[in-house]
Amino acid sequence: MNAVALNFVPRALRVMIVAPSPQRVAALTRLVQELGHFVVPMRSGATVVLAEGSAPAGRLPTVSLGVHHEDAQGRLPSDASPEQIDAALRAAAVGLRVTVAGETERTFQALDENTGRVLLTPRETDVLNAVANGLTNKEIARDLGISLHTVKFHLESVMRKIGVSSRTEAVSKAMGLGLLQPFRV
Amino acid sequence: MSPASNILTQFSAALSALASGARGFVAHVETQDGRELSGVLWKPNAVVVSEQILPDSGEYQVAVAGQTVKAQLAGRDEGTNVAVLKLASDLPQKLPGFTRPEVGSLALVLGAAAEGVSARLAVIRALGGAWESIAGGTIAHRIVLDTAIGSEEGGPVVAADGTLLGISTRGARRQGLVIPASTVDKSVGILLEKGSVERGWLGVALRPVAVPETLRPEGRQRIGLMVMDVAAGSPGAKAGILGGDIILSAGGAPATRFGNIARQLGPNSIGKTIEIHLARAGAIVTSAVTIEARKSG
Repeated sequence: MNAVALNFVPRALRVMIVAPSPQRVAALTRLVQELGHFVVPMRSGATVVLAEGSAPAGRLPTVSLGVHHEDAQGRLPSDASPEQIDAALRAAAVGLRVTVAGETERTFQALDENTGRVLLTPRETDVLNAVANGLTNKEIARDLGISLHTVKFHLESVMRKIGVSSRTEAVSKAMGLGLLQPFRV
Repeated sequence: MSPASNILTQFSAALSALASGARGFVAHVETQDGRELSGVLWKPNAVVVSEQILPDSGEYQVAVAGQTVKAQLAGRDEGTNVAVLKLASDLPQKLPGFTRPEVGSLALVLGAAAEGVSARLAVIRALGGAWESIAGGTIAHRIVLDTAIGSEEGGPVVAADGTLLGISTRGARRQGLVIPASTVDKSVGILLEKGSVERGWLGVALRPVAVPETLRPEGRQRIGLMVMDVAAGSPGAKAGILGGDIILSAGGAPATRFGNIARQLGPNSIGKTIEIHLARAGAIVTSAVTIEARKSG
């Protein structure tokens, strides 16, 4: 048994709701209450703000849903789960910033033309893909019908081109450079 | 004493006149669950909104200059970030003429707000030629603003003379972009007529690679696009394209950039046959591919 047991009970927060319509305020109020928090009508009594749509600027920590405010501590998509909203409210209330992991904010972008940056040869591309798929050098040699020595040679060349010193790094760097994502047309 | 009139008051008055003049075409769009967006009354019966932020909603409520009508989604074009809502009844429409801006000129980014319109002053930061979006749309020219886009997204961007530059769109890294009015207009026409913008499909996954020296066309082209994967039953498969082939050119354009391929797969490309030059097993092979419509989703 641990001597310093923490009898931590998550405390209920006092949440002010800002939403564009009475229906949305009612829906979010229900959700926040079901999470065990108190909904307060006034900024003065609140510890954190849950805002959908445009939120009035203020000094209280704010979790925004859908439309994002530059100064909101928590940024969740409009379809965030109750668990995510609960965690974001708690985190924002204690001064943390929250965003959804792995969420690359969908924005309108140009085709990523990275042809000028790192250019691999066809063989290097094959070897890099195989490494990313988790194949060993021996398996790669068999699959591509080349010698083990040649696999190592191509892999070293890839690592030199992208400036890394291990296979793991090579895969993560190559992903970052977009070298593993094909363009599908 | 008469109130001061100087260049700043005149400048300010000109901006507010532009903003209030836009009330006739800035649309306020509301979804069934109360979410609000900005849009442009593009035609008497059609409102344009930003595709990337438009939530699905059975019905939308559109308000322009105090008049409210119901609307339904007519279609989305991810490629140009245009979605069109078709109005249940016509509204009086006053869309200004289209122009193209100059670098450094002023623009007013307009959006819908509870009390009419919101406005944000911007400078045209950069201009460029035609470009291709990730989703395969071709945008007639690149217009970058010096400001980020907030709740105005999808609303009109007007020039100092009140002409329409296009609709505001949030780009990568919070860059404020303008989809030119001419591009929007094209998508609106297609969406109202067909409900979707079809794009061409080859069914291949491509990666840029260094072309082996012996196979470089005219000894110059350093880059080709290697076929990583061919979808079963796709136009590429029917034309005999294989994984590992390196595309050197397609439809006469060198395969040095994705954009050179994407540009040939526009809405009018379906059914067309293009010639593709490939490097395969040390030789150059020519293959003819008939473009089909890309399955959406």
